[in-house]
Amino acid sequence: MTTRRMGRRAATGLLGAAALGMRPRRAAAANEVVFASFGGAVEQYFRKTLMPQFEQETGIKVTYVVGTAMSLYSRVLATRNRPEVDIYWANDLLHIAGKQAGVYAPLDAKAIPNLDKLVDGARQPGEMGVMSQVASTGLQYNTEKFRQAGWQKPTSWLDLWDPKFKGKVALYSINVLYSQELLALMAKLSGGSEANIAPGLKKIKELKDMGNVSAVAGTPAEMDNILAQGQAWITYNGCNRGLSARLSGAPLDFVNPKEGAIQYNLFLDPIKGGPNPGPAMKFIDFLIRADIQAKIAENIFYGPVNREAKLSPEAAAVLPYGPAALKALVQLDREVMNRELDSWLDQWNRVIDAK
Amino acid sequence: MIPDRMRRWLGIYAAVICVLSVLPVLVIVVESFTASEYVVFPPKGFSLRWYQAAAQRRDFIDSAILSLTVGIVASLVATVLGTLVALAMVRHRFWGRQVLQSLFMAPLSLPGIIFGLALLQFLAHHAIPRDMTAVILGHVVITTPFAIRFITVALGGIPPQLEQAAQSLGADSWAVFRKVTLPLIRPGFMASLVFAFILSFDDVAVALFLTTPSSVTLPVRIYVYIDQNYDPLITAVSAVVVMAAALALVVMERVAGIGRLFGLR
Amino acid sequence: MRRRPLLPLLLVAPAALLFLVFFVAPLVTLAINSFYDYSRMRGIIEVFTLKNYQRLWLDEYYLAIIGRTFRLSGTVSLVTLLVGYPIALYLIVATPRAKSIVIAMILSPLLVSVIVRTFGWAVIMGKNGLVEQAFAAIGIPDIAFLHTEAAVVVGLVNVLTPFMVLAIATSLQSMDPSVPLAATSLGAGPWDLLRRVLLPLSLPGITAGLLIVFGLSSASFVTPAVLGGSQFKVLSVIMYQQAVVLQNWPFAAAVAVTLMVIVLVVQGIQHRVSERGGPQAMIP
Repeated sequence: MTTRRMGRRAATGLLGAAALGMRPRRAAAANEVVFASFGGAVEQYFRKTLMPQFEQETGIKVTYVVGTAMSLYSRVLATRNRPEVDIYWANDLLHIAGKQAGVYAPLDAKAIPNLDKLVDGARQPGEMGVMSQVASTGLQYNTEKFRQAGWQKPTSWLDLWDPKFKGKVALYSINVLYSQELLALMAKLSGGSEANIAPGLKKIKELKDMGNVSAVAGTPAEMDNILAQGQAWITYNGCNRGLSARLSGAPLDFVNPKEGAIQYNLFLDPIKGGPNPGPAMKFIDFLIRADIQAKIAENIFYGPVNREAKLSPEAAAVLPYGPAALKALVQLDREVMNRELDSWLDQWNRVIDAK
Repeated sequence: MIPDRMRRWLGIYAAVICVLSVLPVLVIVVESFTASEYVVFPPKGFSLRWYQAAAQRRDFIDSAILSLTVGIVASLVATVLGTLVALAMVRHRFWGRQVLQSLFMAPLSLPGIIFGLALLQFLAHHAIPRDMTAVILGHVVITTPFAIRFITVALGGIPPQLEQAAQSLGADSWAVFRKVTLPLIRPGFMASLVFAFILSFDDVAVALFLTTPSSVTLPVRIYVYIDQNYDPLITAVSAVVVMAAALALVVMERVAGIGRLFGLR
Repeated sequence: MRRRPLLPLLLVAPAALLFLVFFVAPLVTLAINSFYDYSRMRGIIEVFTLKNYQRLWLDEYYLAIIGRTFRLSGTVSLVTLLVGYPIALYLIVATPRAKSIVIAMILSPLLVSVIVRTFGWAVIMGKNGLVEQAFAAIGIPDIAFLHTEAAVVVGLVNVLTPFMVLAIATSLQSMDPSVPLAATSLGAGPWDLLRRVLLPLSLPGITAGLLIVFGLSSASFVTPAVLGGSQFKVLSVIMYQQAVVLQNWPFAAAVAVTLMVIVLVVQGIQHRVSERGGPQAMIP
C-alpha cells in the first residue's frame, strides 16, 4: 500500500508539473491580439474565416476568448489590474458601463484609417471605442404555426397583446438585453419614457395577466428551443438571431414592426492596459473594413457601419442597412438605461416575475 | 444480514430509482442521434451527423482533454489533502479543530459563480498570474470538503481495537497507519477520488471565470456554446462523454469491480 | 489523546494553507465588499455601510426568497435521504454485479454537464415532454410540471442522490454484520431492524450525506434557474443577477455571505444532533 500511496503522490506531482508546464507564462508577443466575444455561430465564423484571413494579411495571431456577454464583462472588470484581453466586443449597455467604470482605453485613430469610412454616429466622442455593427430587435414568429392557424404575419409590437396569442408568447428574462429594450419601448409607447418605466411595466404585466405568456427564455439559445419545440409561436429577438434561425431552415421568420425595430449596436472597445495595444488597433481596423463588414453582415447578420460595405440584395433587404432602414429604427436612450438598470431589474423581478 | 423478502423489495426499488436516475442522460443520448437541425424530442430521424460535427470540433476535443487532466490532478490533490485533514480531525483533539472543521466544509455552500468571481478578483487584484494551476487549485478547494467527509466516515468505521491490536503486536504508528488504517479507508478514498474528479470535470461556475483566454474546460465550452446555439451538437458531445465514462466503468468493473472499489464487498 | 500535539497541526497544514490563499482570502475580500456601497455610475464606493444587509433582511421580498431557498434545500435533503437510504441498504446486500450497475446508474447524471442535464430534464418535464406524453397516453392531460418547485426538487435529487447513497453505504459497510443478524434472530421485524439497529449505526453516513446535500442544493444555480423558471427565485439566482448582470458585487457579496452563514449554522446543528447518536460515531 505504501508503494501505491507513494506512487499516487508521485503521479500527483508529475501531473501537477505537467499541468503547470502546459501553460507557460505568456510573454508579451508582438504579434498577438486577444479578442473577447461570444461563442456559437459568431465564434465559428471568426475561427473559420476572419481570424485566418487576418493572420494571413498581417501575421498577427488572434486568440479568441469565448464567454457570454455578461461573464466576459465581469471578467474584464475583475481583471482590470492585470488585463489579459485586448478587445472586447459587446453591446451598448456594456460599452457605456465599461466607459463609466474606466476599463476601456481610447482608440489610436492614426492606426485605424478605416475610421473615416464609417457612417455618422459610429465614431465615439474621445474615440472611446467604435460602433462596429448595427443590429435591431424585432418580432420573431413561427411561420408554419401561423400558416396552419391561418394568421397573417405580425406587423406591430402591440400584436403580442393580441388575445389570439394566448399561451403563445415567449418573453426573455430581464437579464437579457432584448427584454430591457422591450420594457423601455413599451414605456415610451404607453406615455412613459426610459426614465419612467412604470407604464411599460404595467403593459408587460398585462401581457402576463392575460395569459399570453407561455414561456420565459434565459438565453437566446433557450428561445430558439422554445420556438422550435412550439412552446411559443411569437416573441421578440435580435435580428441576428431571427435571420440565422430562418437560414438554418427553422420555420421562423423575423419582422420589423411598424413602430420600428429597436436599434442596438455593437462596439469594439480596447481594454485599458491590455497586453497588445498595437495589434489591437490593427484588428479593429480590419473588423471595420468594408469587405469584412460585408462578410460579417452576410454571415452573422449584423448591419455594417462602413459606408462602403456592399451587401447582397437579400441581405440589404432585411438588415439594418442604409439611411432609410436606419431612420425607421427606434432609438433608446442607452445612457438612461444604463443608469436605471438596477432599478429596472428590481422592479421587473418584483412585478413581472412574481407569482 | 437483511431478510430475503426485504432484499427483494429493495432490489425492485433500486431498479426503479436507477431508471429514473438515468432518464435525463438517456434523453440526451437518444437526442444525439437526431437528424434535425435543432433539438426536438422525440428526435426526428436517425443520423450520425452530429457526431461527425462534434468530431470535427477541435476545440471541444481540446477542452475535453484539458478537463480530464484538471480533473485527475484536482481529485488526487483534494483526496490526499482531505485524508490528512480527516486523520487530524478524527484522531486528535486540538485547538482550532471546530473552526477548521467549518472552514473546510464552507466551500460546499458557496455558489460556484460567486467563488469564481471572488477568486478571480482576488488573484487579479494581487497580480497573481492565472493559468491552469489556478483552476486546479480552485477545484481542489471545492472538492476537498467531499474528500474530508468521505474519509471521515470511513475512519469512523474502524474500531479502535484494530489499531490497538496492531500496536500491541509491535507495529509502530507508521506501520499501523500503512497496514491497518489506510487499507480500511480505501472505500472513502476511492469515493472521494471519483466524486472529486466528477465535480471538477463538471464545474462550470469556477472555471468560467478562471480559465485563461486560450484554454477552456469542457463544461465552460459547452456553456458558452449553449448560450448562443442550442443545437444537437451539444447532445452529441455529452453523449460521447457518457459513453467514454461508461467504457471506463466497464473497464473498472472488469479489473477491480466497482463495488469492491468503493469498498462495498 | 495523542502524545504528539504537533502532528494534527502538521496534517492539516497543507490544506489549511491552500484554503487560506484560495478560499479565505477571496472570501474576506467578499465579506469586506459586502459592507461597501455601490452605484452603477460610480462603481464600488469603499465606504462602510450596512445597506446591503438591510436591503436583504428588511425586505419581505428577499426574506421570501431566503425562505424559499432553504425550504428547497431542506426538502431536497430530506427527499434525497428517503430516496437514497434504501439504495444504500441494497448496495450492502446486492451481488457484486448488481452493486456495480446501481452505482454506475446513479452516478450517470453527474457525467453530463449540469446545463445539458437540466435541459434533458426540461425536455422530459416540459410541455409536450415525456412526462406529459406518458400521462396523456393514459388520459391525464396537462401534467407538465416544469417551472415548479417540484421540478427543481426532482432535478436536484437526481444529481445529489449518489452523494447521499455512497455516504450512507460507506457507513453501513463498516457495520459488523452480526449485529443485524443477531437482531433478526432475536425476533426484530424489518421496521425494528431499521429503526433500532441500522439507522443509529449509519448515522455518521446520514449526517455526512445531509451536510453535503444541504450545502450543495443551497448553492445550486443552474437547476433552480432552468427547471424552476424565472418566477422561482432563490438566493443564487439573485446573486448571479446582481454580480454578473448588474456588477453590483457588494450586494451580491452580502447575499453570498448570508447564504454561507445560514448553511454553516444549519450544518453545525446537524453535527450537534448527530453527535448524540451512533455508538461508533468517532466523528466529532
